[in-house]
Amino acid sequence: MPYCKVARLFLVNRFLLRYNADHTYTKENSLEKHIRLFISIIAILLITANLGVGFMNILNQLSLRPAVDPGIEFADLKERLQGVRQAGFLTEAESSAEGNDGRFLLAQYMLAPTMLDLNNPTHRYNVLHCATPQAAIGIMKIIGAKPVYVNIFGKIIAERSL
Amino acid sequence: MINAAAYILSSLIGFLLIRLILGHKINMSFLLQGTLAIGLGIGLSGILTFFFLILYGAFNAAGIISLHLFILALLVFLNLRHVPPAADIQPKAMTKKAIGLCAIKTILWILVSVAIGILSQQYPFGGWDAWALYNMKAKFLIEGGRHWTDVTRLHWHTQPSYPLLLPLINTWAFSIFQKDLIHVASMTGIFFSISCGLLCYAGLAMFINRPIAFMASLLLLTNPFYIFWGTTQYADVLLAYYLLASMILLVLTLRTLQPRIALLAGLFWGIMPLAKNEGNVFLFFLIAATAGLLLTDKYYKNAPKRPLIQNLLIGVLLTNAMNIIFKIFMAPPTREVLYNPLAYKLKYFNLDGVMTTTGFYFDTIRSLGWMFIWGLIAMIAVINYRKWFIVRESRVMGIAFLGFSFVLLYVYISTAHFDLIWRLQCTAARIVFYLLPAVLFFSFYTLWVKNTEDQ
Repeated sequence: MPYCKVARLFLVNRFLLRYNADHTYTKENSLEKHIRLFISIIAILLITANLGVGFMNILNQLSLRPAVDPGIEFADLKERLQGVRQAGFLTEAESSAEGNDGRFLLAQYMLAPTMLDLNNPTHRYNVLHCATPQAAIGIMKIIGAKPVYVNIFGKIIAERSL
Repeated sequence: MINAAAYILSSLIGFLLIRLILGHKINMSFLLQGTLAIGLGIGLSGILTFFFLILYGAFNAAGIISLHLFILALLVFLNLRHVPPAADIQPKAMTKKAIGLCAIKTILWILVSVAIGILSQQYPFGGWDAWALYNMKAKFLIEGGRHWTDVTRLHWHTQPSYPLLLPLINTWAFSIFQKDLIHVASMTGIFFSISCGLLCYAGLAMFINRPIAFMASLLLLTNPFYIFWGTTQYADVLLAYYLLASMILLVLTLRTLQPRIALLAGLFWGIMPLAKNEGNVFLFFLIAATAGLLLTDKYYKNAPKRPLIQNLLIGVLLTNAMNIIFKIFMAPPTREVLYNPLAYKLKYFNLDGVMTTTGFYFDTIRSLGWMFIWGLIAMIAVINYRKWFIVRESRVMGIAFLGFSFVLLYVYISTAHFDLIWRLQCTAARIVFYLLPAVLFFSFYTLWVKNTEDQ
């Protein structure tokens, strides 16, 4: 079996060397013609397969339910932050690039053009994203803020007196 | 449909500008002019919107539309004055067979375009980065009023250093209808995805047999991952388009040696960095390799080298001025590239990092969603490797791809702020996506192009 592989490799190598040895490419030789034909056949097969997969994907797509707007849980906070140029975004969850739960980005998308400052509590208004009310209360105690709005998803706008 | 008006108006501006640049003798097919006009026009609309925001200080739909209409009127006037009506290549009389083939191609393209339109709804709000970065920034540009520049003061999670071309294009398209930004972002993705496939055909058809060019175009437009990444509303589809356009115009410049085409090529090269930061790398290698080839290759002994290089650079400066202003005066430094690796203790700056990166990319291109298109490209590369060095234009393209690969590898192995695997997972498939149209063009061009001595 290994001999077969070596022989096949040898043949392929010879074939490639022969093709590539033609430095000038002045005339389309028969080998070049065959290579082009071979590539064209593979390309046509791939296009046929692509069309099949595309058809299946379209059928799948048409049967899907409409998607929900990303950041919907922060949507109603936007009205309350009208005219606020910058607000804090405070969370007890991990905020590293790799391990964050994406809620900061969801909130920033939904609340734009208010700039959110991640885990910086020095602003007058702060958006709190916490897993439990106790955690949110704990954060508000630490920064000396009071809740001014809480929505049905448990997202809070807390105000600090500056 | 009214949203399409913005793209059509932009394309018209692009078309008139291309005709004005090419002047008396337009040796470029009408289809190539048309497909290039889409990208040039929409790119210019983004740039015009940027300068409008800078000068006026805030978003104003009427102002942005008026600026576009003024530019359009100016271009119409200049075209009537400077471009003779018979400037185009005279079309040859078409046989019945040619008309039939043309009709089949058109029907297939329309069908594929409809399919792309339906499949774009896989992510109606765009992929993660689409709404978290690009669509969010468009909101700042539109709703931010006088504080639109806050877009560069955001937390680094939102990548404030990323170029603004995509949000600016969406802002321009939004200014016409002023409703549903998400729909606008989706339309931009669809427009560029389809245009990129058509451009692949139009570009290849200038140099090789049309049926083969059509095959390449279909191969691209029907690829499931190409459709997926093209319609996720990311800026990658913009770079895919502009990189392909840059390669086509590079070939055209080196084959025709006309300074006017060099100017057009320069305009497209200059737009690349506005789409994504990686465009800067391609811009650098394309300029260096083209100038190097023109100055050292004996074949170009009698070519107008100085006007060619000069026009390339003028074109680059004209479109890249926005990027220079944005990068110097507005954007914070990027966290993604380490310019001084000695300042950090780098975890991946070793053979292990190199193997992890290359291995990850190898796995990415083997992914079933690409439907073996990278296998086909690899096969062409193995069969045809000598021609990469013999065909002059291929040398420049090869250097640009190779240079980019080395820079990319450096960026990965010098990762300091993130986990390497996480970074590869977030970026590899998208990089492979935006490279695909240009690499496919490169492969088909080198395999099918006629003898270089006849150039």
